Amino acid sequence: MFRHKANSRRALTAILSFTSAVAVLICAGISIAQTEPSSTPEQTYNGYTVAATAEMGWRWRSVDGNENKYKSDLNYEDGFRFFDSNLFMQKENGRWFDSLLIMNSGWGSDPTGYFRLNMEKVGFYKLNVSTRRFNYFNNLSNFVAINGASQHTQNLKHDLTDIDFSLFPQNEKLRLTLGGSFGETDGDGLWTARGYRDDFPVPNTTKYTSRDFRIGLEGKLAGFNWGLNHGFRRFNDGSSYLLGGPHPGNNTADTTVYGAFSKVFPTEGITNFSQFYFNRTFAKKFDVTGRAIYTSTRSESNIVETFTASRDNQNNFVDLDQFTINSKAKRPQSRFDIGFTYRITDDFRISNTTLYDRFTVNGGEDLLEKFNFRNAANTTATYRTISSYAYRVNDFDRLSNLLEADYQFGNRFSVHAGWRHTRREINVYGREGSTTTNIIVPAPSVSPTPSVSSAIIGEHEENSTNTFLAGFKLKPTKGWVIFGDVEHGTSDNVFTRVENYDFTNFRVRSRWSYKTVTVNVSGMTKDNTNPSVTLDNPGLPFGTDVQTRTFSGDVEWNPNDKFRVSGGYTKRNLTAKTPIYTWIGLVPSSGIRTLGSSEFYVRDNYAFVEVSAKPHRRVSFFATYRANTDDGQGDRISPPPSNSPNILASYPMTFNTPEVRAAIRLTRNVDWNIGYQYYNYEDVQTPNQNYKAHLPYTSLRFYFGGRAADR
Amino acid sequence: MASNKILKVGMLTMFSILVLAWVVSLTFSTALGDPVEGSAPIPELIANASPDDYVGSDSCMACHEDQFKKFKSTKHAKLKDVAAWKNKTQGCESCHGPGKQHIEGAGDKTKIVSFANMNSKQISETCMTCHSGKESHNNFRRGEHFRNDVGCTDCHTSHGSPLKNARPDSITFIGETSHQNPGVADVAMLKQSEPQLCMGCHTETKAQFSKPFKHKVLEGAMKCSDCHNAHGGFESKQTKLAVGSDTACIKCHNDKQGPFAFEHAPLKTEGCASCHSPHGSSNPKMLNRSTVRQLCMECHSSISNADPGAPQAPHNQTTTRYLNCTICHARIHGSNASKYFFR
Repeated sequence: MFRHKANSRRALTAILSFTSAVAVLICAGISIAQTEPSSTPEQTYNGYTVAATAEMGWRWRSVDGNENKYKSDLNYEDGFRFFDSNLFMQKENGRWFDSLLIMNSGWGSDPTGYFRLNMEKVGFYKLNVSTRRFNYFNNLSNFVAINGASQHTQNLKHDLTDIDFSLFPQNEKLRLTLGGSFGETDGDGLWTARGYRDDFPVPNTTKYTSRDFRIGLEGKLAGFNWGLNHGFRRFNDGSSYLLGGPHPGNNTADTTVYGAFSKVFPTEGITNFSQFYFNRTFAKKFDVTGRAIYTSTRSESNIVETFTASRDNQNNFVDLDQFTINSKAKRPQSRFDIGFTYRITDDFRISNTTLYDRFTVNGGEDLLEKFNFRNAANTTATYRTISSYAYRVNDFDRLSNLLEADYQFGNRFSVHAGWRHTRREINVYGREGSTTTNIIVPAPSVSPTPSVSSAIIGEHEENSTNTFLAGFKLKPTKGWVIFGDVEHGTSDNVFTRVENYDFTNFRVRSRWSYKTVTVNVSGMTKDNTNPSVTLDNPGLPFGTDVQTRTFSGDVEWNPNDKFRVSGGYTKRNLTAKTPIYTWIGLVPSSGIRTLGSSEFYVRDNYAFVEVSAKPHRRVSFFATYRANTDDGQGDRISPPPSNSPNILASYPMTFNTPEVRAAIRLTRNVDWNIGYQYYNYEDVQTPNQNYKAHLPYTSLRFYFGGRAADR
Repeated sequence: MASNKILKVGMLTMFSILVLAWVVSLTFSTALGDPVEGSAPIPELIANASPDDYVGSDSCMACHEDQFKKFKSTKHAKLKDVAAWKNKTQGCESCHGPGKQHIEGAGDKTKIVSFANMNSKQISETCMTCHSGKESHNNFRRGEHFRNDVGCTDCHTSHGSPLKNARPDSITFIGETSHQNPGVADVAMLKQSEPQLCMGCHTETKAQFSKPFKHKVLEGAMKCSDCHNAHGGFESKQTKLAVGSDTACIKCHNDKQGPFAFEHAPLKTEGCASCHSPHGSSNPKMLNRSTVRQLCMECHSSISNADPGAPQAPHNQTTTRYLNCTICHARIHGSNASKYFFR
């Protein structure tokens, strides 16, 4: 209680101090708002205009509270890092390149870093390179955790590189494109394995890679723009799981104990794809575009999972339980899309877009299990062999057509309306079977006969949906634009109930600017219902209602380069109500299938204010406050799962981030920066996840180029 | 029943707004003067032009020095040196039409194509004269931006980016493009760099990308255009495709690509957004619900006790172990070894 009060007082003091600081900055800004910036003439270097910044510095870190949650959200570390550092060179007609842009940020102790390069010689080539690194950490102590410790943790490093090269990019008749993408993920974590009706946390090593290559030709022939691209991806997953010592499992009430467990599942995959497209506009009236894509993906996996020295849930001694699973899957996919627009008059158009998508996932496994165990009294040994197979085919077929028209009333008002029809068909079928043989030592008087089972699976779903859409754009004045649109109908996302079925969505946006002030306001509503019934006879209620209300607005005043203030607020409410059927009861035979409800609430408020000001030639400031509060379910009380079939959930939390920064101009080309950023996360339902993070930093920022002194 | 009522009220409201908007727009048009009247009909001006009416960009410089200075370093200006464009109209007149009458008329605005007096669709049609033909742009006329009357020059500037001087900015979020701090806006001729440009209209996304779990767009590690094609395309929400015909997510999340011997059907048929909020969420893993079982059970509600004979029946919601479905169904996106996604 006292601690809570002290925290509240500290928070209030911090907010007041920050508000005062922002107010001072705004006042300073108003006083300098009238000042017009001066600019120096552009200088060139070897004919190139150059603009560049490089910022490097040190960030300190102090975290009070749950460090794992802090790292899951933010993951900023102590130490040296590169901040936003960029170089741009441009020349009217350079020898090797006309323009070169290099962007670089986050390397060092940051969780994300990127390097981007754009290089172009107009008429000859264009090169884009991007390398990104993400340090992903996930270790949470909330609902996913059993006994407070997460059993699904990850500490991964993702590296992603993309290279795209285009030869003669401005040549209409023929262009060549080449590209490659390389992804690599590796790291450690903890995952769960299931066995003997129990589950165990198992340390795992993650490693998967992908290598993409693309080549394409584009051009123009007989008035048609066309392109033919081909690419392939090779991907593999070399992750492994290893548990070295005994573990009683999450269910400590049973006899199951894992002795040692290992699993490797090397997976290799190949994707080949080809794409052809064309486009032509006839007499500036009739525009037609078509696209065909064929993609074929195959994967192959060989899994070996081994248990040794374990006890199963019947208290048998497990000497060996080994699964060898060979699986293959392939997925051919074809897409044909065509769209046309006919401009009947300068103000009136009709368009039609037809999409066709078809794919089949065809996969299956052959499984061999060797299960050697002794009974609890150690009087008999059983050598069991289970041989099974399972094959599945998922067929997906969708045809969608959108017919729309738009009309322009002068330059200030336009409307559009359309109708979308979608037909979708999904078939799932397959077969499976198994044979089990037992050799028992000492042999019983009657030898056990192998047990054989098999089954055929088949399911068919088909649906047709229709959606009406309409909208307008209004431009009451030169600086004011209002957009509005509505969609009403049925969505083709009907196989998952969390998605919409019958839906009505409204959206309005207004953007107003006058001289140095810009005001944006938007509002969105989504009402989704899914009036389903269960497969029981008669069907039981199974409908879903999801309502979303979003309001967002921001204001910016930017009188000149020396001062800017902006602020905004976003409110998002989401209420989802769904009937669910849960099983209540410890033993299945006496378990009761009970009708309950699932309710989920978001009551999210996000606000920010940002101020940047330069009250003195050598000093400039930046300050921001970002506040996010989700009130979640409010006063509604979640029933305990032990005696209720109802789920009432939300994620109430607050996440506040003030940041201040001062830049002191040391020389014409160098600024010294000092700053401080604070994160305060408070989780209402699982307060053990709360943290406060203090991140002070200092850096030097170097400016190069002709206009460096204008800052 | 309630749905019908909502629909009727909604449609009535929308109709009223449209009527009001039309009246307001007509009023403003009358009060301010309809800009269309101030400009020459574009097709006639260009269609009736002879080669002698084109005077070259240098002639424009005398009066429009500022625009010319910015324009000359853009790709548009450099096309004059590209062999494939030698026989085409170059520079200012490629968009603004022939300049001879405009100059002879001492800057008569009715003798030149002026984009200030055009609506978004007219402007976009002008740009598409050259910029259609590439796969990313081909479906612009049927994309959501065009449908809602957002045109090329709402984001791009054909004369070069209108940059300002640098000012201090957040240390964690990517800074705005300025004269001293260059960015993609410079090469793509954008009014601002991403994500500031996109969030200028899509203001609500800033809140989503500021949640505890999010894609790192504000930090600059990702861009809106990594997943979305601002120029339209055939996909819903103007998303991009990856690796042929997979969703944009698969580009980076390659371990979810499959195909798996046993696929969780929504992975491919419904898409990732069935379970995840791709921009950001308070919920771990950016899930659409705060608890895993809630998300699962809203589809798999009528689940049976699949494992009779177990001491504690799986799916028994009175047991803490079974409140998190993915503890057992650990390979929930798809498995090559278990039809129940156990391994």
